[in-house]
Amino acid sequence: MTHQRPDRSTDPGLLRPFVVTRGRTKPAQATFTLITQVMAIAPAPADGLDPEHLAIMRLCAGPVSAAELAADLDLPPGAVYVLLDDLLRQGLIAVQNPRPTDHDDVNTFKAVIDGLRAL
Amino acid sequence: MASAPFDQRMPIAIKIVIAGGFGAGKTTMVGAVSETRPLRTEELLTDLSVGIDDTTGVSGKTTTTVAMDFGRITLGSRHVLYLFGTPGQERFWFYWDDLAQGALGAVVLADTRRLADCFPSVDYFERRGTPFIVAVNCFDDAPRYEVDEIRLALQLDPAVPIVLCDARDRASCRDTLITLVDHAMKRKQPHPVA
Repeated sequence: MTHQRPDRSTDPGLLRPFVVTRGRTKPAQATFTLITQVMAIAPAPADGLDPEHLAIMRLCAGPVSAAELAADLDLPPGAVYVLLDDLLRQGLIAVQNPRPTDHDDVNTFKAVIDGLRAL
Repeated sequence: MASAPFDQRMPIAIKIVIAGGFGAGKTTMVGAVSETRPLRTEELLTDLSVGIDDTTGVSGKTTTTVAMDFGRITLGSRHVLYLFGTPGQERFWFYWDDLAQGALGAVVLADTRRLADCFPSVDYFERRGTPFIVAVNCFDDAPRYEVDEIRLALQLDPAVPIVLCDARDRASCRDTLITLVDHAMKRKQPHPVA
């Protein structure tokens, strides 16, 4: 799940994220956030996907956030969003963004408080 | 996307921002209460978005990374809470908007040895209208103050809770988060519960 990573502040390594997205810096269609939930809903096809796509498919067998995928893949969130957009358009993953109404429901707050108390 | 039906297979994701000055204990708090040790993401920013950086004398396009530490807490089967530490460097203020967007609230960590370091965070969340609390991280060698003294020093609204905490301690961080969520919930209710 976690691994040691190089320190980007001294070794920028800025090229690779753009290479894995084939130069794209923005998702073509969908909107993603750091806490957008992602889950695989179909098996990865035998060919046609890049290694980073396949890595995402392995990591999101259960629901996981875009930020966790970025950390695990050692890629900037912006690059992960592009890859997720590819998978979404191929029908391989489902995504769920936080809804503005999530914070309107007192039950959400109560559930979070109860969950924290149970820690 | 926003109007898509809610997918019951996935949990409701909640975000809380942990802010404060450099060395105030943000990453320590994230690590103390999260399921795993803090994860890190680094976003790439081009010179278009780093307009406030002084790039005088630097030719060509500049690219910078902004690093964030974060953690995850699974709360039952329906909710998952993410804690995001704000990037320490003040030149990344503009990136705070991304973090604060959609956040349930924020914990501003204060260090009594350098109380002024948390002023910008307090100002930011006050202006933005994000529910927040101030958590005084009680470092072993830091001077102890009464909560009222700290409230006065920060010129903090009486409605904003101040708690004392130990960012290394899981239970203390959990209680701090509960105080924040309770505060945010009360702000949503038109009539405060007695």
